[in-house]
Amino acid sequence: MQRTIHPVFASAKFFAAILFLFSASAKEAVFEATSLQIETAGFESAPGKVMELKGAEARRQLLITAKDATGALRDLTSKATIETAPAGIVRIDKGGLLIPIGDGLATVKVKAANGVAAELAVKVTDAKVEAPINFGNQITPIFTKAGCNAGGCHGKSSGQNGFKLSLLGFEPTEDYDYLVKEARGRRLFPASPERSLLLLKGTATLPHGGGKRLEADSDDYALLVRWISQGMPYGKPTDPKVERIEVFPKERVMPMSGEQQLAVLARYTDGSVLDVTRSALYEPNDKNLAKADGHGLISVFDQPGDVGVMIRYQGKVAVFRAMLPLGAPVENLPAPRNFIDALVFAKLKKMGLPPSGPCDDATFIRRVSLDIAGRLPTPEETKRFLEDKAETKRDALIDALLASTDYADFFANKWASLLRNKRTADKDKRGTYAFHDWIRDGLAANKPYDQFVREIVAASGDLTENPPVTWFRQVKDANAELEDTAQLFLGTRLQCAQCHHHPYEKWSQDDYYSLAAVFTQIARKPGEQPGEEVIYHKRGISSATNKKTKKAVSPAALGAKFDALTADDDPREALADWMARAENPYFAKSLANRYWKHFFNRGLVEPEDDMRETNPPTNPELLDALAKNFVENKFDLKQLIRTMCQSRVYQLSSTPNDFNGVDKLSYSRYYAKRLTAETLYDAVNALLKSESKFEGMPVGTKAIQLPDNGFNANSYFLSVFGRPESSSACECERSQEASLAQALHLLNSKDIQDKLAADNGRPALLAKDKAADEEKLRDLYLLAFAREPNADEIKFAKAHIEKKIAAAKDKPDAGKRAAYEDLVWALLNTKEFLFNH
Amino acid sequence: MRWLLLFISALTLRAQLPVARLTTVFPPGAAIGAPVEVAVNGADLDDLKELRFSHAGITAAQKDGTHFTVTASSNVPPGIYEARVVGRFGASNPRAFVVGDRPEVLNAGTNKSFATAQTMAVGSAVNGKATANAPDFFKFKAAKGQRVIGECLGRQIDSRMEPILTLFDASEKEIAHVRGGTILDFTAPTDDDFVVRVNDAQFRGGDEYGYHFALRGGPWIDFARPAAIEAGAKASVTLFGRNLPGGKPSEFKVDGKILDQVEVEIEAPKEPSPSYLARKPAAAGVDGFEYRLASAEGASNPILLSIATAKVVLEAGANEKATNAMVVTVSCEIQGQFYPRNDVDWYQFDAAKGDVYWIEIFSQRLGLNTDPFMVVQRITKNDRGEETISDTQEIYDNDANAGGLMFNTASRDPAYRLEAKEAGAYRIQARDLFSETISDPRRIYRLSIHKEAPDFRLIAYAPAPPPLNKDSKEAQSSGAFLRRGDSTLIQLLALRKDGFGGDIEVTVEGLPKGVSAGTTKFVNGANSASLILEAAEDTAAWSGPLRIVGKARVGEKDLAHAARAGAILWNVADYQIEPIQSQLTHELFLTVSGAEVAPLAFREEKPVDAVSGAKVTVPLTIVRRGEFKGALKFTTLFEPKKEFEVAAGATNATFEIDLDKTKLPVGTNAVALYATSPGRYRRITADEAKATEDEIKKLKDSLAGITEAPKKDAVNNQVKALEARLQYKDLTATIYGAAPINVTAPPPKKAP
Repeated sequence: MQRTIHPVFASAKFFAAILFLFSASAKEAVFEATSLQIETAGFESAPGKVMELKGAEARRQLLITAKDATGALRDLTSKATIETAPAGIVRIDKGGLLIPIGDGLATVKVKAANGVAAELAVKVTDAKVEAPINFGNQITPIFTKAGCNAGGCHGKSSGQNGFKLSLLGFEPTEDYDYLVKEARGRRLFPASPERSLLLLKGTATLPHGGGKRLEADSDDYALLVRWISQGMPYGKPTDPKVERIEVFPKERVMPMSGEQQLAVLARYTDGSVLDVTRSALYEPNDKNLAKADGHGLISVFDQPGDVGVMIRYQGKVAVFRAMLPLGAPVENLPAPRNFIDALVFAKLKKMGLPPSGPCDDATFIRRVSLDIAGRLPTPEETKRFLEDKAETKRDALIDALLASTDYADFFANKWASLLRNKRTADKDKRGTYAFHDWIRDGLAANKPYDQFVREIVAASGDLTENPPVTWFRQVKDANAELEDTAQLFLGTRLQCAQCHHHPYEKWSQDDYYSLAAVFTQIARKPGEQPGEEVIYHKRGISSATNKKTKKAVSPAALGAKFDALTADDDPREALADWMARAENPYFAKSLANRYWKHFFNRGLVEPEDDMRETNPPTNPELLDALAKNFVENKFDLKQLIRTMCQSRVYQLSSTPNDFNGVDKLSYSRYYAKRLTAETLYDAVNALLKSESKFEGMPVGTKAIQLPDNGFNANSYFLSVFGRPESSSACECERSQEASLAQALHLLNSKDIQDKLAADNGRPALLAKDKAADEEKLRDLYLLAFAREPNADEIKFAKAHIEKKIAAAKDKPDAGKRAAYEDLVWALLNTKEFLFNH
Repeated sequence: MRWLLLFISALTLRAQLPVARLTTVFPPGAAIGAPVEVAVNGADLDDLKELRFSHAGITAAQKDGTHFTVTASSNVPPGIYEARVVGRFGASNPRAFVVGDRPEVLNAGTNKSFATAQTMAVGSAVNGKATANAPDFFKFKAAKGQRVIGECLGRQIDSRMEPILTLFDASEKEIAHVRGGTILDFTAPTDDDFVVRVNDAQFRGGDEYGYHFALRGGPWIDFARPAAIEAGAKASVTLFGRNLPGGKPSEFKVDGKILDQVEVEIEAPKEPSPSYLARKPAAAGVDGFEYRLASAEGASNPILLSIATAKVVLEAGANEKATNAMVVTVSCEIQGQFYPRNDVDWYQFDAAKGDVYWIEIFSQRLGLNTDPFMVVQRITKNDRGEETISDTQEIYDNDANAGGLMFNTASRDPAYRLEAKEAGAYRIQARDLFSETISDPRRIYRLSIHKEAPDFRLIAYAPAPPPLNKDSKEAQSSGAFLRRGDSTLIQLLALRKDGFGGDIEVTVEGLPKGVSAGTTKFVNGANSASLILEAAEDTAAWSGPLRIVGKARVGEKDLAHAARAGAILWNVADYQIEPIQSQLTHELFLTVSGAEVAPLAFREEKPVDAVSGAKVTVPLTIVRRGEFKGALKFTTLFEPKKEFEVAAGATNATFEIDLDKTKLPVGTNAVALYATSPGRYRRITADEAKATEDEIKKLKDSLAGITEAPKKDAVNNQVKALEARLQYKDLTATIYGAAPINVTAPPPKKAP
């Protein structure tokens, strides 16, 4: 059956909204510099102040910043005219790096296009004195910067083409051995450093699989040559090490399409500092908003928002945060309903992003029913709600949905997947069904989240009585246990730290193995049925061995020690206690962010389970407030949802205004989202009045009620729409990507066509129903969209029915049925149906 | 001089011949005084003539082949009893049958939706079986404030069902949800209709998924304190539960509901009695009895109380830290609770030098899902009075498994022998490794600290023949059935207590005339033994329970204990997929066929004497009575397994044991062997076959006088059916015969 969508459906006003046809036209006021400032990392120019540089490596990245009359700042490093005098003391390259070339006093003069100028006095000493090279401090970062020691190249555990480097240079001593001693020293040639294999390959003079990573005229090249000619010193054990790095500036309000030069300073254990702007790595957390070059120049695109740029150097990290306001007038904001509104509106004001207006009741009931209960509202519910005149009816609806078992079903479906409730064999069913049932029970009873987590992480016993032990079936060893715990409950991904220091975070291997030690005394014995295990804490002092140092470490939480544990204490208890502490920096935030994403379609931190210093939230105050509120409410999940759904922010329209169409992370409107696989499946069945038949489940079991992943393989619908297989603790396993296969399935698959054409399906029943077509269309629209059809839609639909009846000649019933099949099919293929908006 | 006496009693071999097996009894329950029609289902249930129960007050009148009218008389206390059928191929394995003191009805089967829920009254029960993917719904009326306890028995009554109960109000709003079927405790908020949905946890169903769903008014007992009373003694016991007559609120909560408590006086029997409340094999080590609280609304649920091993003491005070250990005087038995969540209980006692104590926890064996664990510590003081604590032992599970894979008697209850080398104080930590996140006052335990008193308990069950394929992972349920001139094996297991290593002699009481039991003894600390029962060729038909008694002498004391019966619940095709469910039963039944003769047997020619180190040769006579003329393959039931074969048609065989190689322990051993052989078999006796042939002839003769085609067809069909009865069936592998060989070792040789 070939069906086409009539323009009436395709041109519904809604599409205009969700297709983002509006585009914001940010009108930035012209920036007129009134003063100019030259800074270097940690040094601001001022009359009479002289910046001192000592030694050949003492270079500094200049930051030239203009200020206007309002106090707004703009980076002009790459735009201002720069002159130095006298010659021969310093030179400044294209990116604004100041390099000493001779001893003496020099003045750097900068001038903006409008003539505003500034000066910096520099005194250089020992410009020709080259300090002895330290391999770890100076040579290793070159490999990191050039990507030589990345996980995909020589940094992977097996190395690349026989040459291995430690991942991201975390182990300089090993790198030194690989370079200098391995392969009979053939990689370096002190007699003629430029002929070293390392440099010939790096510059692609000799064929190199990784291509050209090094320019022969670069500073890095010169440094390598110097190091080789010095006889490849490693440095002294007493040489200082990087203690931390700092970025300048730390945050800035930037104009859209603007630029910002960063400067990065490394602080060493001996108190010395080094400008490492050119050696550090830069990575924006949202590549739709910004890009960074290798010299620390950040360019943002034509889109308002917040972006964090992670800066890495020698295992240390720093972050630069930029806010990119739209700058539109934000007036007449509604009075905040709760702290969410206050904090989001404050942000919107700063951003100059006027929010959309509130959504109407029809949109709200559909939205909140889908978000809380994973289902469409029934036409009766919608009618009742639309007719209800009570001011508090939205609150009442939220409460009713939270009290329904649909809520428990929907969220149990979410959690079962994250808790890896995976069926790999038929005999797993007893456990997966029981675990799902337990999760659902807990959610229905609104078990406090800290208790819910404790009962999983510290679960003991057998699954008949204590189903959460099923978690330990998929999460099999201490490493998996700590990694899932960290990712799922603390929003922290620790996997990297198993083999090396976390590249983007402070977590070391000791941190990793300390958390592993929480789980090392877990013991297992056969359970009641084959394939089942009972879990218990075996008495003893827990510890784990750091894979690198081979030393035993004691149990600890993330960055927190436990009180002394005895052999009788299960460290999992201590971990659960620590998580539930009000001051825990991760636990409440992680859940608040996870649930925020569920309702607002974008986490305050993205991805929601990768929360780290270098991946800052778009609205830190809001995340803090959500977490605080969650803790104050004793980890009450329903209350958290209530707070979110009651907010005016949640109840904003998804239709963009003239300005906020481009906003994707400030919550100036509700971000429409595609229904999940299960919700869509159930919605399609509700619309078509088709009963699901999942093997081994009662007829009519909804997809959101399925206890485990075991139904995906036999349901093309669920698999093509991305129902997760419960293989990981990551929300990312649920695919929300749109695909052609999905569209084709809804448009012309046998599955959907059979349901449309079923004798007891919605179209057949509507055709048979003696009520007026207009009335039936009204009910149909209420079911599909929770709204009544407009006049055009009714007109078109009736015309289509009449046309089909006429075409069927002597079989008007068949014509009518075909018409209803077309209409229902068309509705289910609209974006208005497929999206929660 | 070392000497050995070896003799062989009758050795018989049996093919995998039919033995009655019962899978379901439906309905699985009846109300006292209300006759109910019951259907039985199983395998080899030819010519059933009897449905017998483990209480004489429950009787069954046969209606037709597999249907019986069952009546529980008023002298039957409510509870779970055993039913077994008796037919041509013996008495079957048992199946549970509930006798209730409230009305019972059948599930209508049309109640598959909320709208079509079957109406039932509070204070009644429904017998049903789950339908795959189609839950049952039951509607009941409750008055505002009425407390109703819903209980659904599944696995407790030998069903495969693992019930889930979900309660809805009249608007179909879910208001309660209970995994495991026990218990739905509900107080009606208004006068209204309510609906309960009953389904298997995995929505499975079928004949083997029977359930007994009761909506009870009246009392429900959650647990008792103490849970043990010394044999024959009266004690004041506090019952904790719901709807308890005269009950007051207690300090305990279950699922957020405060339990009532009430004091009662209970007299413990002198002898334990079997219960359906703790049926894992290891529970044979618990002497217990059931208790119910009577009320105007009927009896409460039963609870299992135990016969205490020593003076009973209640856990009291804050004893969750070693420094606050509760001080007790031993011997004693502490009645404690693993409560609240992650509870740790400490006890302290003084032991005199040389005292030997056994410290043992009873909890899992009381039918609870606990995993008790103990640490025993010694406290020593130096001259300055400073205490030093040292761990003496951590004690986890009691892994002693007398029954192997088929009848695993291991338990999670720990036991430990403490020998006080010096006088001093000892501390015990008791905790439940499973209650780390579970706060449930019903997790009780008995901690017995008593002077060493070696003892034992026995289990006896009738094993199915070993599988023909050695790699097979199957297990089967079976009954004990003897054809005339036949022998069969009863497997005996010993649970040895307090390190008892002595011999246990076994006698069988209640054998009918013509059936004899071979001499059987547990020797040298063995915990399993084979008992062979043999029927003479002229034994009359008989069916009844056996009483197997083990006797031992410990010091000056004679001990005697009747074995607990056991059975394997279900046939299992692959125990790596489905667990073998072996459990204790009320009775072990033996049936002797008065008609069928064993088709094959073998016997020793004469008793054999043997000496240590010798190769003992046992000449055997093979008796081939039926259609089993093939080769015989013998296998010993003792280690190392020895196999030997005799050729087809042979009537003699020689069995050789090399006593040096055979790892028989010193002492008297009862060992057995069995054999397999191909052959063919029909399910009727020779006399019946002759009568059938006559009947066929008669029918065929009658055909000449019949002209109408339909009548002719009818007679021909009759003939076909009769001819089918005459057919032999090849039993591709014939197995199982057994014999005890008593090998007795002399006392050690004295020095010259």
